[in-house]
Amino acid sequence: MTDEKHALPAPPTEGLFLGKIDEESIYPFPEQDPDEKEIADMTVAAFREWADDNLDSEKIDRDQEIPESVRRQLGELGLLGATVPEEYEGAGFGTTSYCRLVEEMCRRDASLSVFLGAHLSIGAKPLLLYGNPEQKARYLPGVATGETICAFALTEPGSGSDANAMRTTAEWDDAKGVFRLNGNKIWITNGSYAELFSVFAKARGARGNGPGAFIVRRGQKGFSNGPSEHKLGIRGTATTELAFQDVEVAPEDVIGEIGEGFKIALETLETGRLSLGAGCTGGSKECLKMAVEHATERTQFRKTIISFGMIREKLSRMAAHTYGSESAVYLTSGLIDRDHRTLPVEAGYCKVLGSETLWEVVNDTVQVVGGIGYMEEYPYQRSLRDARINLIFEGTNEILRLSGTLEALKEPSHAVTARLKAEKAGLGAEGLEQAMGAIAGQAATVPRWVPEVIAVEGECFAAAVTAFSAKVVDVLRRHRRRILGQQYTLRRLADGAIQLYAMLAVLSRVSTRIAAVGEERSAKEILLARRFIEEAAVRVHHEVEAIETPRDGFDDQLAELLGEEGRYPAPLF
Amino acid sequence: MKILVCIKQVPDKDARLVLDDAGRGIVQADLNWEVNESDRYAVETGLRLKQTLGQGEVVVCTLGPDRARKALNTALAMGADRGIHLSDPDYRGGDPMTVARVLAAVARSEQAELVLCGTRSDDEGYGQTPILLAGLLDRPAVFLTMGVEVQDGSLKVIRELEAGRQEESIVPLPAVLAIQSGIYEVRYTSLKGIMAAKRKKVTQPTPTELGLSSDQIGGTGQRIEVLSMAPPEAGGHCEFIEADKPDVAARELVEKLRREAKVI
Repeated sequence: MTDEKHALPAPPTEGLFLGKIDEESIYPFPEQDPDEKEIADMTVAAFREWADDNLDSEKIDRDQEIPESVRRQLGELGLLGATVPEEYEGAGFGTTSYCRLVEEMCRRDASLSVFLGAHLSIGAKPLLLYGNPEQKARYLPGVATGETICAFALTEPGSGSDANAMRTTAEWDDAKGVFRLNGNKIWITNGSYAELFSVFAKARGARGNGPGAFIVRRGQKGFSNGPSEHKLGIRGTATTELAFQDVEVAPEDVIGEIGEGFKIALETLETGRLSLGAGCTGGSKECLKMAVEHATERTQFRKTIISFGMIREKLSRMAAHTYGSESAVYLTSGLIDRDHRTLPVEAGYCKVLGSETLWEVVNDTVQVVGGIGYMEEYPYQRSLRDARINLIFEGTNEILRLSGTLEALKEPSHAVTARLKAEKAGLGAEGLEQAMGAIAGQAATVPRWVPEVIAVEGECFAAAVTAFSAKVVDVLRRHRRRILGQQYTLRRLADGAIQLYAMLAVLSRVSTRIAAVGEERSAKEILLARRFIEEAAVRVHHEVEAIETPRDGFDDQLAELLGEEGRYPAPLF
Repeated sequence: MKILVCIKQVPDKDARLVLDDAGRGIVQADLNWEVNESDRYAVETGLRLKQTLGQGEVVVCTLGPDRARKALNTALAMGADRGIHLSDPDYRGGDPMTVARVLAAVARSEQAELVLCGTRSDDEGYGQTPILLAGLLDRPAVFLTMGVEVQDGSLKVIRELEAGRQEESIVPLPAVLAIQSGIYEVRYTSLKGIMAAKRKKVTQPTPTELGLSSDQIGGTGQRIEVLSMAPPEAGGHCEFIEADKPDVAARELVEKLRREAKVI
C-alpha cells in the first residue's frame, strides 16, 4: 500500500505551485472504462426517463418536501446504492460514474441531488471508508436499497467551519459497556427521515479520548429530531436539528477508532465535495439551456435577443465557464478512479469553481430572461435560490480556498526554506539551485501534447503558470510561516490556482479530443477551450499582479472600523 | 413460451438531424441513440407475458452496427433474458424486406413461438418489417396491437382501429405482433437491471450461420432505392378564432382541429 502511494504522481495542483507542469500524469484526459461508461450512460438515461414522468420539482419546492414515493422510487431504481460496493448489494460506482449521476440529478432537481448526496456522498461515506466488515455487512445492504437513508451529523450551533469546537460528547459508561452521546447537531440534511446517522462526538473515558464517529439509528432511546427548517433554496430537503440525550451507542457502532473522528469527517467531506462540483455543472448546463431557449425566442427591436452583444457575451461566458468547471471535475474524478487515490485539494477547488460558476451562470440566466426571471411561476427563481447553498455547505468556499491552498503550499515552502538556509550558509550558485530542489525557477513550458491549433492557449497557460509559481516563491520568501495568517494573499493564490487547474483540465481535455477525432470534429470544444483559457489567463495574471495591494490595508482598517461602529460609518449630511 | 422481440436503435428524439453530402441519409457521427419508442413497448409486452405465464424466455434481437449493442443492453436491463446482435457488416444497408429476411431467419433458428416488434421505427418509419416478417414466416400478424394475453394456448389480441375504436380477436400461435406505443407504462431500467445486463449473453450470428446468402440481405439484397431526403419546408398558417366567450372559441377550435387540421 505504502509503495503504491509512493508510485503515484504528485497531485496536479502541486506542479502548478512549483511551476512544473506534470504533463504526463494528466494526459490523455482520463476516459471512463467502456463498461463503466455504458453503465453510467444507462443509469443517467434511466433516471432522466423516470424524472420526465415522475418528477415535479415545482411541487417539491412549494411543498418543501421530497415525497416519500419519490424517495422510494429512487431506491427501487437502485440509485441510492450507486456507490455501495456490489458485494453489499450496491452498484459499486466509481467517482466519475457517481459524479455523472449527481450531475444529472442536480440538473433536474437540486433538492433531489442534495438528498442523494447527504445519503451517499457523506451520510454513508464514513461506513464506506472506515466501516469494518461486520458493520458494512449489517448496514450497507439497507443503504443500497434505500431502506436505510443516511445522514451526516457534524455541524453544531457553535461548530461550523471550526469542527474542533464540537461540544457533543460520547462518555464511556463502563457499567453498561456503551458510549453515552449527549449534544445537539444542526442543519442535518435528511434529518426527518434518515434511519442511520453518522454522528461525530468527542469521546471521553476508559475507551479513549478524542473525536469519534458513531452510528446512531432512528428509534434509539434519547434520539430525536426537530422540525424541518424553512430554507431559501433546496427546499425539498429535510434539514433538521438532532438532539442526543444519553443515546447509548455500543462499541460495535463506532466507525474506525476513537480519536480518528476528525480524520473520518474530513475525508468524507473531501470526497463528497467533488460530486457537489459535478452537481453544479449539471445545474449550469440546465440554466444555460433555459437562457439560450429564451434568447433565441425573445424578440426585441425586431431581432432575437441572442443577436445582441451583451446577451452574447453572457451566453458565451456561461458556456465557457461551464466547460471549464466540467473539465476540472471530470479530470479530478478520472484521476481518482485511474490512480485509486484521493485528491482533496483538487476536489475542494472543483467545489469552489463549480459552485461559483453556477452562481454566476444562474445570475446571468435571470438577467437574460429579464422580468420573468423574477416571477414565481417561472423556474428561474428556483434555480437561483437552489444554487446559493453550494457556496456555503460542505465546507464554505472560504475554508476550501484556505485549506486547499495551504496544503498546496507545503512543497514549495519546503523548497523556499531550504533555499533560504543555503543562502545563509553562503552556498554558491550551484548550491542554491540544488537547495531550491522542487522549484523550477524557470519558465514553465507548454505541455508537449498541446496540438498546433491551440498552441496559443498552451502558451497562455504556461505563461500563467510561470507568473503564478514565481509569485508563490516570492510570497513564501517574504512571509515564510506568517503566510498562514495572510488571508488576502491566500485568497488570491487560491483563485489563481483554481483558474490554472481548470485551464490545465481544459487543455488536457481538448487536446485529447483533437487527438482522437481530429480538429474538425473538435471545433466546438476548441472554441469553448479558447474562450475559457483566454479569460482564465487574464484572471490568473490579475490575481498575481495584485497579490498584495494597498487595498488590503484599507480593508483591514475598514473592517476594524465597521466592527467598532456596527454600521455604515458615513452619514451623508 | 419463447418470445423474440425485435428492436431498433434510432437517433434520439431531440437529435438535430443533418443530411449527408449525397442527400440520401443523415450524418450519424455525434448523434445520441435510443431504443425506438414502440419497440420499448414490444419489450415490455414480452416481459409482461413472461411474468404472467411464470415461465418462458424473452430474447431480444437487433440489427445494426456496434453502437446498437447499447439498445440490446437497455432491453436486457429491463429484464430480457438474452440478446442477439446482428452486427455483421453484410446485414447493413438494405430495406424492410432484407431486414425482415434476417429477422425471419433468427425467428426460425430460435424457434420463437411469438415474435414481437414495434409498429414502426421513429427514424425511417416504413412500418413494414413486422408484416413482411410474418409473411416470410407464414404466420398471422396483428398491426397496432393495444393489448395481448395468452388464452388456452392462443393469443387474445386487441387491435387499434380508427377513431379510438378497438377490435378484439383470437390469434393462434405462432404469431407476429406489432405493438403500438403508449399502451401501458414501460418499466424503468433499474441500476440492478443495468448491472445484471452486463452478465447476460449476447450472440452475434453471421449470415452463414443463419443460412442467408449475401444477395438476400443488406445493400446487395435491397430493392428500394432512396433517391433523396429533404427536411420539411418551413411554412405555416395562422388563424385567429374570434369569439366573445372562451367556451365558444374553444368549441370552434376543437371543430377546426377535427375537421380542417384533422389532428384530433
